[in-house]
Amino acid sequence: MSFIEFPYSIFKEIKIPIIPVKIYLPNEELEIAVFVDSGATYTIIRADEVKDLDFNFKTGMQKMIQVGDGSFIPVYLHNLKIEIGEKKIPATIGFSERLGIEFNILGRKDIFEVFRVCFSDKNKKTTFYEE
Amino acid sequence: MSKDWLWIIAHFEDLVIKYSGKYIAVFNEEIIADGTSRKEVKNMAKEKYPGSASSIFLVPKEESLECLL
Repeated sequence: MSFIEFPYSIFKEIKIPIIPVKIYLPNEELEIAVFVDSGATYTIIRADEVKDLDFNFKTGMQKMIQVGDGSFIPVYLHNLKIEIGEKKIPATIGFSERLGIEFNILGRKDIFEVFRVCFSDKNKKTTFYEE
Repeated sequence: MSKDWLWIIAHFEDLVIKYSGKYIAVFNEEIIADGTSRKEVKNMAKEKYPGSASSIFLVPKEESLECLL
């Protein structure tokens, strides 16, 4: 079984599963860092990451997604391709102006169906096993 | 994973301390630009090293690192 390992980013004992991915927008590729979040239904990218690109994220299907304080934020979903390691797969990717954190989020839809994702805080790495 | 992303991970703590909340461009394991937007940093990187494929990263702020997602 093939797999890809990503070491955690670490800040003063805080271990963070951030990985680089490439998102294929209609007119260009976007390489960004995402926080691997098994608790997130969708992958959501901050609108700031694409605001200067030739990509109107608001043409996507709008969905209201509930966040940690119970409120709902608008997310615009697109069918794109994402590359994790050397594996490129189709995936639903959301974009939002209201993702009030500094991380982009890698969620479960279309990603966790292709990969079995394992978090090892002991070994300080995230491993993506191809299913 | 590219050597530049491995460099970012290896230097993550220093980056958070020095570049908190800023975008940085890393090329050949060196920070070649930093600024407040992806576009600004990408343009600075291209000016310095035309044709380079630098890795652009938004360095999170320290207060963001303990989070509930």
